[in-house]
Amino acid sequence: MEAIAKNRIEEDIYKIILQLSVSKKIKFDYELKFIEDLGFSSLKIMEMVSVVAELYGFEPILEEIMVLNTIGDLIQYLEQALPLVESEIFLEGRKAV
Amino acid sequence: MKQWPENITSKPIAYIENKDTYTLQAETLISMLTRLRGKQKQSIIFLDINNNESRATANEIKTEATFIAQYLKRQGLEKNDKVIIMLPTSFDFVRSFFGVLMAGGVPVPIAPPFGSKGIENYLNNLEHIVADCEARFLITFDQIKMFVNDSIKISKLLQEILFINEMTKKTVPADEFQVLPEIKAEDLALIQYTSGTTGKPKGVMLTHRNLLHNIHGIGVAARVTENDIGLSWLPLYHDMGLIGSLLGSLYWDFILIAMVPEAFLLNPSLWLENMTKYQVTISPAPNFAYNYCVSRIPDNKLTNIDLSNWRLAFNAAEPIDSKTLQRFIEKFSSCGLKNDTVFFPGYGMAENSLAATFVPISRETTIVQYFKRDGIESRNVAVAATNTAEDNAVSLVSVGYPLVGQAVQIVDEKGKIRCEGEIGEILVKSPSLFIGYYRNQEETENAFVDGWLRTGDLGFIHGRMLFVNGRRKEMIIKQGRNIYPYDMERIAASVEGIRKGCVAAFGVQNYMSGTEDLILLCETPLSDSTTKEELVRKVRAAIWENLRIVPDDVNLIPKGAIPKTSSGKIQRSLCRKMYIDLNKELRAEI
Repeated sequence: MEAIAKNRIEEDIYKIILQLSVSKKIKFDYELKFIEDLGFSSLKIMEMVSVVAELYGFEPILEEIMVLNTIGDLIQYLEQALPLVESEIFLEGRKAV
Repeated sequence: MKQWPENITSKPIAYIENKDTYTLQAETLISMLTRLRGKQKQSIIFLDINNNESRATANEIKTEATFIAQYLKRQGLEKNDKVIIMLPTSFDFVRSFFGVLMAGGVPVPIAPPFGSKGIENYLNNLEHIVADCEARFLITFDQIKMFVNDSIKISKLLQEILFINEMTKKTVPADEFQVLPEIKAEDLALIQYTSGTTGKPKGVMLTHRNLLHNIHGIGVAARVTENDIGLSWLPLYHDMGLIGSLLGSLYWDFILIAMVPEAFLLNPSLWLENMTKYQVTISPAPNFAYNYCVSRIPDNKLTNIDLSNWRLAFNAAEPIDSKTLQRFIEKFSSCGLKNDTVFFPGYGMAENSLAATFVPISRETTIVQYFKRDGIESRNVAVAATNTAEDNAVSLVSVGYPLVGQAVQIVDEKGKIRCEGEIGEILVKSPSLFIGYYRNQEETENAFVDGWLRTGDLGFIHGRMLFVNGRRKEMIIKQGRNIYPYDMERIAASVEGIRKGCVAAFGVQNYMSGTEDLILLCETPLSDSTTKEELVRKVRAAIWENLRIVPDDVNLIPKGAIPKTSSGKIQRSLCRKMYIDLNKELRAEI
């Protein structure tokens, strides 16, 4: 699995949520709840995790997903599950080397 | 090979009936299982979230169900006691379901909670069901012990919460077995909870005979044999998963591969890869699932998929979109998917056990027909378009003709039967019809007229086939679940800051997801953006709390913006048009 820049995750998650959400007027916030605030059904939450898992190439564990309630929870979960580098700039620098 | 059952009768009036003779192969679900008991072949192959297999024969199901039945009897279960089963797709579900039946109880399957999300609201809903069906026991699994144990109210309503792993550890010794009650065809076999117009779920009561009649009819229509292999990821608390897949496979004695729904949702290609591996011939899914596969399965995975054995793709539980079917065929034709005849669209409802109609199995194409738009939309008449390319033609997928022993008719608002081609309410009459809503005489009486079930759906009969083209109650169907606009509007209007009687709820077909989006327009006098954001949250929370569903989009609009009729009724169709127009512009900007 390739290292991912920490600041990329947030950007990717916002893009995915926007893509899946019917409303395009989302003011992103780590505290936003998937069900109550974003209007996601349990099926849509699974779809979101599926898209994220495919993007980063990892296999999510169901029990861990079930307790993710907010955008912040998801980002924190990914930061723990994925090999990270500090920032995109560092990643680009490493690639250049 | 004949295309139609011999005794389909059709009259110029909008009435179709399937008079083919039939004989049920079992009187009760128990005798259905006993019939298979001598056979040692695998009946069900369970696949867990990691796709690991475990297998069960009918013999094992019966033996293990007997232990559950004896356990329940020892706890004091009596005939007709209701037992809630809250278990994921697993052998535990199957043995509990049959164990409850064998002990003389009535299973009430419900969805387990989705993790800790909205657990309070989940428990409120559960509390309603436990109280409404007067449940005596609840069978569940260890992982949710903390949720249900914390609910004192639920614990007080029940005699006992039973955990399946403990039940199977403390089996009753054979010498202490009690005599199990005799089960008859007219005994209650299932209570299915379905959403209602009052917002609270209603318990649909079905007997053994109701269920077996429906399962038999589906099998006859689908020409199911012992050589078929079924695969289902539909949850077992859902009628298509429980009745159509699990009970159907046992009745017709074919192998069922039972996947957990989460496995499909996380990795949809697993559905099709398992179909390849097990050479599956029959697999059901609602419309959205076909769309999901098109959008989520990358092309590089297609080489692992072989769908050449797939002869029947049941498609029901929500409106069927011909474009979805077309996209699915285009994407998977290189995987051996025969052609569109693999799709088997049907129509049904929980009150009719599951299915009322299905399309003919031997046909040249999926039954897509084109009708003139002005007739359908303005004149309540379906007139076939002279060619498919005709401007403004509406394409509709037929849901076929009634299953054996069933009849369908179309009536106008006064209950008078209409003629073929005229649009009206669809009524269904059959031995699969439920016996009523549990402890709800008023709703039961409202559901029937002269022995016919009022479906609330709009449709017409054309060329001996039923077409569904709308819902009288403007009901929204989202991922197989029925939602009534009035419920959402009433709840939203109860939130402080929303104008009373000035809320419109409606569904908008989302062609990307293959299901309907739930949209709310709410008038508010507020203008501050922060307050409005908070108000949207409150509306969502209120609807989630009451209905356990959340609107996909809540739009706050100024006072007087919702179009109403001269008598003050909300014009939902105009609201829908307004929303679609506005949203087009918004999406175009992104």
